[in-house]
Amino acid sequence: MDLNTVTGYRRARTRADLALGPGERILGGGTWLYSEPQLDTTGLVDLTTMGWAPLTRTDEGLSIAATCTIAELLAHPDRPPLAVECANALLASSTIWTVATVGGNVCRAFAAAGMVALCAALDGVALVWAPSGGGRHDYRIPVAELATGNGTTSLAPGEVLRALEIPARVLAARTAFRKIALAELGRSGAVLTGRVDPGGEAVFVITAATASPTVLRYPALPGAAALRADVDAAVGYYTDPLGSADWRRQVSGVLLEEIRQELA
Amino acid sequence: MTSTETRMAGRLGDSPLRPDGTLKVTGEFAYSSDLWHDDMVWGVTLRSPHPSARIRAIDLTDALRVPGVSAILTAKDVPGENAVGLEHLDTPALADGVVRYQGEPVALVAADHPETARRAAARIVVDYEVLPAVTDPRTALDPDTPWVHADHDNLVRDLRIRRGDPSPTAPVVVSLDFEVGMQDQAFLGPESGLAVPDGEGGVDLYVATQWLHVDQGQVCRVLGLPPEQVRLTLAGVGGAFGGREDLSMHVHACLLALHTGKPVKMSYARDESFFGHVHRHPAWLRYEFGARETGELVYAKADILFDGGAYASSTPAVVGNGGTLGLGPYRIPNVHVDARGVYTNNPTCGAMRGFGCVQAAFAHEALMDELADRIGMDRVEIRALNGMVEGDLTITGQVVDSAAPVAELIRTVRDLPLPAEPAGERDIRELPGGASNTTHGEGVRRGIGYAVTYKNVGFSEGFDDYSTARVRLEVVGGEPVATVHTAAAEVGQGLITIEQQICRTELGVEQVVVHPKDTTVGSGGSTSASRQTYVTGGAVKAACEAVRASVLRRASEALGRAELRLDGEKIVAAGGEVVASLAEVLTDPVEETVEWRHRPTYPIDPETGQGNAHVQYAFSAHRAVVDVDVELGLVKVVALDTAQDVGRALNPDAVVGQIQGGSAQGMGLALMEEIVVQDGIVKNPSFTDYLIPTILDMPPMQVKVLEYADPHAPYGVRGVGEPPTISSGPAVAAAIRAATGKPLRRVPVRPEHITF
Repeated sequence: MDLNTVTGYRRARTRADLALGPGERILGGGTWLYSEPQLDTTGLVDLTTMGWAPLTRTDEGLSIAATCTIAELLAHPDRPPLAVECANALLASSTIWTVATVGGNVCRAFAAAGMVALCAALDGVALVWAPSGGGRHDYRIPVAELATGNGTTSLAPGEVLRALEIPARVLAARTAFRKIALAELGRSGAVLTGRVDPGGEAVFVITAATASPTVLRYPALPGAAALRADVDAAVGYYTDPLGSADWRRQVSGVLLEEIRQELA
Repeated sequence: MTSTETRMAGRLGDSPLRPDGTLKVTGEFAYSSDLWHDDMVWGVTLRSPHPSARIRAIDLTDALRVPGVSAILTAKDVPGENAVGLEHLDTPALADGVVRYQGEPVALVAADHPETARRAAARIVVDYEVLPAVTDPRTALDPDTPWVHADHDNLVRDLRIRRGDPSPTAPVVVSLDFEVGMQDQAFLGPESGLAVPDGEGGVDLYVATQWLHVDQGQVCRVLGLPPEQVRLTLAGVGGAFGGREDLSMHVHACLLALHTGKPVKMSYARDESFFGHVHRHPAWLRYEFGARETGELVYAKADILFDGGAYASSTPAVVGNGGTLGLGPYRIPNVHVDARGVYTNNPTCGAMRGFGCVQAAFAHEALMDELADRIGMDRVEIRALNGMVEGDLTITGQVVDSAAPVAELIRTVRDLPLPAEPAGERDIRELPGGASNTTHGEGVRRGIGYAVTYKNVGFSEGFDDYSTARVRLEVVGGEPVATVHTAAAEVGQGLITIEQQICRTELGVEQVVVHPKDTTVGSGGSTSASRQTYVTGGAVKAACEAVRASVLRRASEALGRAELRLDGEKIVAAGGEVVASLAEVLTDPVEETVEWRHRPTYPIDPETGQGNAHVQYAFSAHRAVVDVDVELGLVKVVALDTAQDVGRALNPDAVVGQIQGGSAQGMGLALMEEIVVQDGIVKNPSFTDYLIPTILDMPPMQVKVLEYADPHAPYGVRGVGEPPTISSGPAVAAAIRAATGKPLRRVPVRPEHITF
């Protein structure tokens, strides 16, 4: 789509370049930005020219640059568990995968965002750059908390998502995944993940069914009744044309139980 | 030289390559959205965000300041009568003082770029006084409900059918309430066209549509121009299914073109398309069937309510079909039907494939299953027992005077091989949810459902239903060439192929050119009601016969021979002797124009609903096999098999294509297709949120085509396009009921209906 309100374009090379002027927006892969009219946008600041390494493996874990494309994530030998399943849940063509960024998907924060599901499932933490000046500081926040609703985040104006950090302790976890959609290639109605860490801690995450991620933590794999009770008690299930809140709660319970059994 | 019977390819009964087929599959076909004119400007429409509001003022000041804007028009700029409509002239071309549905056009902008025009439209300030909206059709006729139109109440049409005993009783009685959601035609080519001013006060409009001449009449009325100054040509149509029968951007583009003096292109985006055309009526149905313990129907009662939305569109005809055909293809001696269509402030509903019969079929077929279960009878056999046969009377007292093979159709689909029963560990791609890794089969149950239907073909209730064909035969480059010219819209169904096949068959020439569809020839009628092969096919046949007679008359005079006939491209005497080539006789072109009508139909009696309302009936049956995950609410249609009587298959591949496509559309309504409207606001105007079946959703289909020629129709044809849309959905719904044991009295069947 033509964005003919846009009259300016800057390639960001340094952090200082990320200070946004009036009407400017950060451009990642552009797969969403270019898909709809952006009548209030007059300038684009290209984040992909920052030159960040897509994935960096350290002793602390995995750092995924906000500009890492989904294709780069999937092709990387150090890709985290559940990456393929969550990318497939995005329902995007390989063409999209080659330009859409992990950070862009997280920042859009749609309830069905596959990269939010991935990061939330793996206790991913967002490294957020605060704008220069003004006394604000860079900070880290769990992705499950960064995504505050269907299409909303906690990011303040001028803040830039720098990276998504996956802790090393979860990279060796056992995981399981389920997705449901009204149509086989339809938008996710619920994305469910489960994880059992080497230390035995169990984490179950509901995305797409709730407006923001629902994270259920247990010191060990819970029983079926306890898990179901927590799923039923979770808040944020929503109704849209592709499914009712009650249905999303119901299928979350059924599919998380399958995951629990798979991880048992 | 002696003639032998010439048999060239591409005649009736063949399935020649479609003239538009290769272009479409290679992406080279020019759709209406591809239209271009070097100095054109772009038009966009500002639409109401409210379902009901009074317009207090419109301020164009800021919008006119946007660089590149060449015109902004509102209702006060309409030069003629600001009223259009297929059956009632109740629809303003541009809202004048009041808006009655979300998305109603309020203003038009022309600019040098579509985005510029959109920005300017966003700067138009409309001062709305929001009014209470009538959004529940079930209370639309209550005395305290506001009128959607100030000059009359909310009733669009009330149809009643009374036949037989007014107070019948029966030993077995079943009843149900049913609800059908609002389906969209979901054609892939959004509304678009190009209006080109002629410099003399007139305009040429190139547009994707279904009925050029009725469009022309409406555009003329709004522009205040005679037909000679408003010429329409069909542009490439990307599907229609009824959604292009009403006007969309036609008048708007012409208004802007005449105002700016420049060609104006308008092309809706997908979300705007949902507001730019009518939809299938949602319906509420209350049915009661009474039967003997041996299964014979004794009586039927039905109360059918259609939500017509803000404007009448085709609601009167939809009510007509829903009422006169709404009890299904069954012999029923005692009948009491009330069918009504009402105005509301919901989206306007009108024509869509199946046209009133689709909604009713869900109810009458669910009730037939319930009746069978109640008396312990086979669900197929109860349909066969009660199914119409030739000579039976419909519920309007009309004799079915050609084949009505209901029993054969339903038994045929029953006897087709069933898919293999699931056993052992299954490939998840075959399970509900498919490759999404949703289920491994734990909660999956299989169900089988059946349905039959019938549908009128062509326009009914006394409508003067005709088509015009002009056929010209001449020599071009030494070869005889026929040119067929009709205004009947090719919307993807294959009419132009049929027109060629008829010409080849009747005139024996190989080269047949299809003239562009336009208004320089008489009306072809609408491409709807499964009518074009019948009616325009009849007109082309008649025109070819007239051309052939002229040619042979000319040959007789030139050769001094009598009893000549055409064989291939040769003139042949009675004894088989070739006396001339066709090219030798065609020293001058021969051209004939014929206006052709089918047998007349008649209005039904307003008190009893009795009368010969329809010209032809088409029958079909479906069997659906589904796997349902009862814990997750997902459905996988495993098989969708069908049998249909098509009279005569003039193009067998096209017939099967229509049946497959229609079946998919009916399945879509049963499973997923619904425009969700809350308080008059459309919640899902996109193909992300409005789902249509894809190739992943479509199961393999076994299609059995019966050919019982209708002696009253050209070549014996019977309309094909609509019946599969009607009987497929109820079969799928029945199969889901069989799998789940749930009553499921609403379609689309949503996952939560299955899991709770």
